[in-house]
Amino acid sequence: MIKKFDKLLIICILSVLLTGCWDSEDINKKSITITLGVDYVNDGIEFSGELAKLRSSPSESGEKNQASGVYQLLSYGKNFEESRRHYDSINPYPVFLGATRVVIFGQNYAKEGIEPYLNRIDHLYDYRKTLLSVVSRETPTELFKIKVEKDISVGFLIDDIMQNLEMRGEALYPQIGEILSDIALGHVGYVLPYIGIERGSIKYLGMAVMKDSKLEGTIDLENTHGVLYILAQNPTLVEVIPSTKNEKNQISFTTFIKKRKIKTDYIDEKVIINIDLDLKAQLRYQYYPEPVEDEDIKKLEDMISKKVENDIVSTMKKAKNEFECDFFDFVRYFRAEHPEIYKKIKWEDQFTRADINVNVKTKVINRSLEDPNAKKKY
Amino acid sequence: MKETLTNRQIAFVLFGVIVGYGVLSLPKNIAENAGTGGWFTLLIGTSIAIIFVYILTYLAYVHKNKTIYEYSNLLVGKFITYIFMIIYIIYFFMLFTMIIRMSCEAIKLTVLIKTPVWALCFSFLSVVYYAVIKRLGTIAKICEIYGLMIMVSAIIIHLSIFTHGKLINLRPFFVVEDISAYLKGTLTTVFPFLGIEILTIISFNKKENNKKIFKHIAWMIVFIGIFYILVVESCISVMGADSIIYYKDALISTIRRVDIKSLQFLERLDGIILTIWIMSILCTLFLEAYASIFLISKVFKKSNFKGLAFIVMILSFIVAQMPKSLDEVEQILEYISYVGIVTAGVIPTILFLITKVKKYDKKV
Repeated sequence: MIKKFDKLLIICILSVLLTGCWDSEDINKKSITITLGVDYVNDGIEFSGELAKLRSSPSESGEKNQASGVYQLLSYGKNFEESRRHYDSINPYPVFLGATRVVIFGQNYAKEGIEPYLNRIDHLYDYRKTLLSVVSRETPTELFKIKVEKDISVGFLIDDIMQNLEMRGEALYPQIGEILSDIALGHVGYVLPYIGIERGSIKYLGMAVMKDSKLEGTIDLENTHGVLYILAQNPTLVEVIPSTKNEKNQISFTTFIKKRKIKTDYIDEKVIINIDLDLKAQLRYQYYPEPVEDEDIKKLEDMISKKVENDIVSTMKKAKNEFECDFFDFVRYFRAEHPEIYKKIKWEDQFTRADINVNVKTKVINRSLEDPNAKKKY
Repeated sequence: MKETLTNRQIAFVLFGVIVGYGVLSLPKNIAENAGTGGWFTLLIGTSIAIIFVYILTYLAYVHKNKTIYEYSNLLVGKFITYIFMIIYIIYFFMLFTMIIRMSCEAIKLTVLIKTPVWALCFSFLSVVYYAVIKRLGTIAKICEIYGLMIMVSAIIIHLSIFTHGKLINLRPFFVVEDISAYLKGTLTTVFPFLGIEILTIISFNKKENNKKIFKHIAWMIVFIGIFYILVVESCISVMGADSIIYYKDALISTIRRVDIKSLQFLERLDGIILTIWIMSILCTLFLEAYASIFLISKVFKKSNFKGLAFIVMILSFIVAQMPKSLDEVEQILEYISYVGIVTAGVIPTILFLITKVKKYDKKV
């Protein structure tokens, strides 16, 4: 009997089981968070942010929901949970955090320490662990007041700026997961993008140095090259070098890393860090075209090497003396090479006393497609 | 009813039963005990597993068309065989029951947050029941199909994860001073290799299972060892040994920390990994549930297999709900893994030695 109707039975059972989400809710009935700001205000936590504004638009296949802008959210509380309760009590729909692009930490909160919120992100199910976190000079609420014309919202703008810069090798895009690994390792700091408002628009200002997950200081945009040469995966940076023949002339180069080698040693109870960089440089253009002989190229190569070396050394000095924190992850190299010594030393102390040797070699690989040495016939 | 499996099927049955629940927390357990030198611990674990797999295969190979119930009767007599059978039945039953509970807890905590554990257990057991009553031949075929799918997709995903990891997180590769820690850590590699005792309930056939079976099985264990190393190393390369130790679901946590742009068309990669993981758990459950029911049916010869399977499933459902917390389930699983050493190591070794002493292998 059953065998006779088995197919029918299977279809019936499957149609009941596979209809799936009988308790599903329409996307319109969710508060989809795009950006979240966290700050300390009056000894309490302030959550601010942007929620996607969805509207229905007719399409060929029927009605379709589209993000047409953002609503702003604001809630307060003594801690995250209270702040969230406040949020829930003033909003009609449950929060969905899975679409969050950026978490913005206000300076006040960053100075107190962002680790609790990073742990919250790590353990809340719907948060992506690959989202971007930044520190803002202004409070997040001030940032959200900016009228963004270049992108959908403040969150999208910050994320797109940082993604673009990271793709071009001009900035770091630290994801929450990477930061959590640094925190778990201990002994190291890390850097986050530092943003702010300048002339009415949101700008990437440089890097925020975090020690024990607390904001220790900042590195201006123009001084970030030293960090990028060590930490960025494929830094592609522009270096402007004065001409050897004409003081007024400047030569613009793009540099790439061919090889980066970091070796550590421990001699006389002192940590030695040797950084060897092999750079490739490409001559982009000259402000005033003039012949560039092979001898000039050699001099220019030395000048680029010197410039990069100085950039790295000055950042190292800042890390050692000003921030007293290893945000270059040198400890990972030291532990990998000297695991037994690592167990016996206190890295924080050793790092501030470490000898750091930087050796940069540059090779100009082309002068673009121009021939600056062409000779005129007449 | 005698069912014969091909050499390849037996190898895939081993893959199906070994690679399962344990893989989720494997990177955490290895990193916690052996740090970045975990690959060495896994190599030792694999070597030990090969020795015991050899013993189990040898027993089945020498005693053709017999399972442990029959050859144990022959070697140690009825009384001790009954004791052995009780150990095996309880072991297989508790193992598959607790794995069901643990897997349901993991699924609830990671994706199906609102679904009650009992409902998940019920779904699992319904599928397991259906597979088990179709007997070993069908289960072996499922293992073959699922096994291939698991192998291919897991290797692609873990190699992709590697491209997002940092080599420096995997160093130091080996610290001579830590060798004792590596050896101690080998104990933690016991649980991921549990399941090899399934060979005790597979009867080899003269025609199908020739000497090549040893090669097939040994290569499968080597493959599982390498596969485990790939899983552990790829996860550590992303999260670092210091971070991964805090995550019981280390595999899923790692996936959530990487954004593989080339696989973005799959939307959420953790969903794919979870699907593969559930497929591998199902293989484990099918085989272990089948083993317990099969051995009960051997002891109670007149019983009806389907009816027995139904009773076992109901019992399993009840027992799965008994532990009050996740910690209790973990504790029980830890105890079961110690019994596993007896079922996969001690008892087969005793039977192997008796076979050798009584020269049964020569008689065959």
